[in-house]
Amino acid sequence: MTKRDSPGPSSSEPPRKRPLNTDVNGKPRFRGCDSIKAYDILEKLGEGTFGEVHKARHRSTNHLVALKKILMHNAKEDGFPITSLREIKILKALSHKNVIRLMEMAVEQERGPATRGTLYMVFPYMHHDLAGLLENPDVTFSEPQIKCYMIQLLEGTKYLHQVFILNFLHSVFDNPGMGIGGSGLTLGNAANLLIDNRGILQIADFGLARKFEEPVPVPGGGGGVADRDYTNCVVTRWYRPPELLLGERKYTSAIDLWGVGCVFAEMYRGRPILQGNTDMDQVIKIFQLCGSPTQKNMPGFDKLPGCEGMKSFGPFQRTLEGHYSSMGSAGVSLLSQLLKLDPQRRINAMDALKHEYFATDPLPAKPSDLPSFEDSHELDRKKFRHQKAHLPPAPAGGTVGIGQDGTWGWSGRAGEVPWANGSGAGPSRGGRPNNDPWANGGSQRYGRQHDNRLPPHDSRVPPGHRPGPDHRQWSRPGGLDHRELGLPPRPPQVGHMDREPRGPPPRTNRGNGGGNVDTYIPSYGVGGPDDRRGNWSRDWDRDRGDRDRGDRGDRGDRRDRGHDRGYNGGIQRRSSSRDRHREEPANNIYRR
Amino acid sequence: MVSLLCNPLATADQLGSSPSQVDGIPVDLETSLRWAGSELIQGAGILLRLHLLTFHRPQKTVATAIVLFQRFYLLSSMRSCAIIDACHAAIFLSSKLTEHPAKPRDIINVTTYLLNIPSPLPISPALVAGQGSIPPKEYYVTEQEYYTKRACLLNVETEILKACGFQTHISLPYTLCINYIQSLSVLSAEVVKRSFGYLTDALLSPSLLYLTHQPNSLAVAAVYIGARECEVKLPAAWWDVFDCEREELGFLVVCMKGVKEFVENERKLWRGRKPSVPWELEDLEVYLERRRALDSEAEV
Repeated sequence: MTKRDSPGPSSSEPPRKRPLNTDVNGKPRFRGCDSIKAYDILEKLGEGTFGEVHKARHRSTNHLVALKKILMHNAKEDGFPITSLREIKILKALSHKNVIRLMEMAVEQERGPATRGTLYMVFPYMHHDLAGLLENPDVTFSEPQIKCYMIQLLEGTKYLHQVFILNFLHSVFDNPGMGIGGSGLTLGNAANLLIDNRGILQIADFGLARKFEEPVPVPGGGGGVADRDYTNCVVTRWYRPPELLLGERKYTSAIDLWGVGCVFAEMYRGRPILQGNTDMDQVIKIFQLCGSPTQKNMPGFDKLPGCEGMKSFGPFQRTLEGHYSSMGSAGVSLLSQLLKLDPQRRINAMDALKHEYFATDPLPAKPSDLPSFEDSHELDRKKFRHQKAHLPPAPAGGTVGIGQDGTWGWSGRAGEVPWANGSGAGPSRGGRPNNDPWANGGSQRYGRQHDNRLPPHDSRVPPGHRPGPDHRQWSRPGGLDHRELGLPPRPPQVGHMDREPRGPPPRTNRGNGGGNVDTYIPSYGVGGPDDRRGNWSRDWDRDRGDRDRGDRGDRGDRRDRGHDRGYNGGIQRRSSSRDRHREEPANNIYRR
Repeated sequence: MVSLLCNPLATADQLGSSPSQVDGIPVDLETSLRWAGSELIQGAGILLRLHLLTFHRPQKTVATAIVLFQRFYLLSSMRSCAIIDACHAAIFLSSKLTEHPAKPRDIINVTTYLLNIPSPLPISPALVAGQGSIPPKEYYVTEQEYYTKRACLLNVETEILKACGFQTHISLPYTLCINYIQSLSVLSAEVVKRSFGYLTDALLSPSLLYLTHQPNSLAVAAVYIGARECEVKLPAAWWDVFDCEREELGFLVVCMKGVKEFVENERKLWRGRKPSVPWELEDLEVYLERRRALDSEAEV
């Protein structure tokens, strides 16, 4: 408002009795924007490049709210940030139980009415964000709980995609550069998934949409250490689908389902599954998980701008099924459909909700049945991190997996990954201290006995910031397999998803079974030969079964064999006998 | 939750006691200033090429700006916020909302130009016969002026957002209009052109049609007049299908047809008049003072 310095109201006219923004009864003429004075600010919940979030209580209603400050980065030139305008506009148009509700806006006047003041978005207070919850050492997710969250996440996604196609189709025509998904919806980033103590999950933060409209930075230019300020961008990167990382401009709503897939696996793992520290590193990590891109699994990938000058990636063998076998066959099947390289074939939210995973035992919990936890936010991670800061570091040397990084992968040759030479890295046994704060839950004890390779839980910070060993283990969730040390990498297996199941591969080759999807690979990270043999014979049985039924291999009849099976893969892989798994209590459905 | 096809409408109370009237601005002056501001936004939008950029939704940015401007003065007084700043801010905000951001400098240059050289726009100075070209000095924005105006623009931008409670979704009748014409199978360039013309006219209406009627009713009224003028026959009571009642349609048709006369009158009232439209707060106060003096003289 401009100052009224010059000829003010003359004495002859009646003085202004009440503020103009209230009506005759003293009520606001228009609701939707309140003063910050209506709230008591309690504590800071989070901060980052996106702004600050505070917890507050409304003075008259006593409702707990979260206040998100709108940062005016370039207020002199651009005025009110266009990203915030978009976010507010979008949020106001949404109404779904799994999407965060924008209650109102709050204004903080700084120096009189002549300044613009600071603006806050007011949301209902949610007790946790998913990232914080996963970091909370007192919290373990049960499988029914994960399913419950997944259903809510997919319902929210489904709603958003439906609304957005209705709502923004025209803006797509108007702005050819902007896809439907780019209209404001970016999923993923577990810190943006909020959960309250009634078990309700809500999707939050639509302000990141802008990021996807910008061209992806040129790969290969990355130096060694990531800048601190970029942490949030890095976090977002971890949930980016390959087509965006490779510079696709005409993306679809499928980009969000990739993020859902990452979050899905993260709920089992307890940490982000793909933590690249540059965009190219991220792409490589994706291909290490899903296999090298081919014309069959990602048609036209070589035409994407990010692939310029790249003849091929890898060769990488697909390791997804092996690494995530602990999710059970139905879970792995859903994950592999969410993490499809080809966006056209990636499952959509509607179909994902009908996936057998949600009809398999254990059935999803009701939100109201879920336990409540101590409030956990992303910012609290520092607290938990501190707990383990004094743990002894994993001993250097004794690595069993150097070869992999040293010979394969981008990370080894670009020199951008400080830990690429593998010193101190690798799943050295006993290297993990046993007093891992994660393992203090009763239900986890079992897992710990068998797996002292338990990874650190603290892995949300980009790898560049942390000492090598921790990260190293985590960047290869299944652990490095020493068997690979002596073996040359196998050529990329084109279209292995569709290949007829073969017989058991020759013994020398079995370590690479991860490349063959039909071969269910619980043995991927298994320590000893005996163990592997057992698993192999079982896989072989199952393979035959699948083949006989003409099944697709990565789903199907494995379902009825139950989830006890799923747990001998990625997690308790060091147990030396299959019987151990059979003895597992049936309710041991926790992720460790 | 905001409905995507409807707009929030002004209440009778809001219309009956606008903050400007409460603040001592005569009703007729408020109407004139609303009209002048809308004309300026329309003219500036054309010079900024905003009406062309949004090709598939003609007028989108301009119409959004005018609706924002009109809404704002239903919630704020013209004596606390200058018309010219509100016009700047409305264009700026609308250009961002419709994803075609314009620079504050361009907006300020264009409005200064429009208000200082003769143009077909009724609020521009009249072209005086025999007058040579206007020296550029007349409409040059100095750096100092620019910074002052930009600061005002950015302040008012936030004021608009706050006044509207950040409700920035504005549903416009243009696309609906095309849909209706198509579904009545009378699609022709002439009908569309005339209907759009009336929709744009309605933006200037003193009855604030965009704040009092939903876009579907506006579209129906525009199609009604457009089809009638092109002598295209439509089925009986077709407006019922589009949720518009006969009385409302009748009212809207009268209002839309009346805009032409209203604009003619306003043009006569202001064109070439000295002092011209009080764009700045100072001008407005001077104007009010003179008017009070005139009124008391008349009383005596």
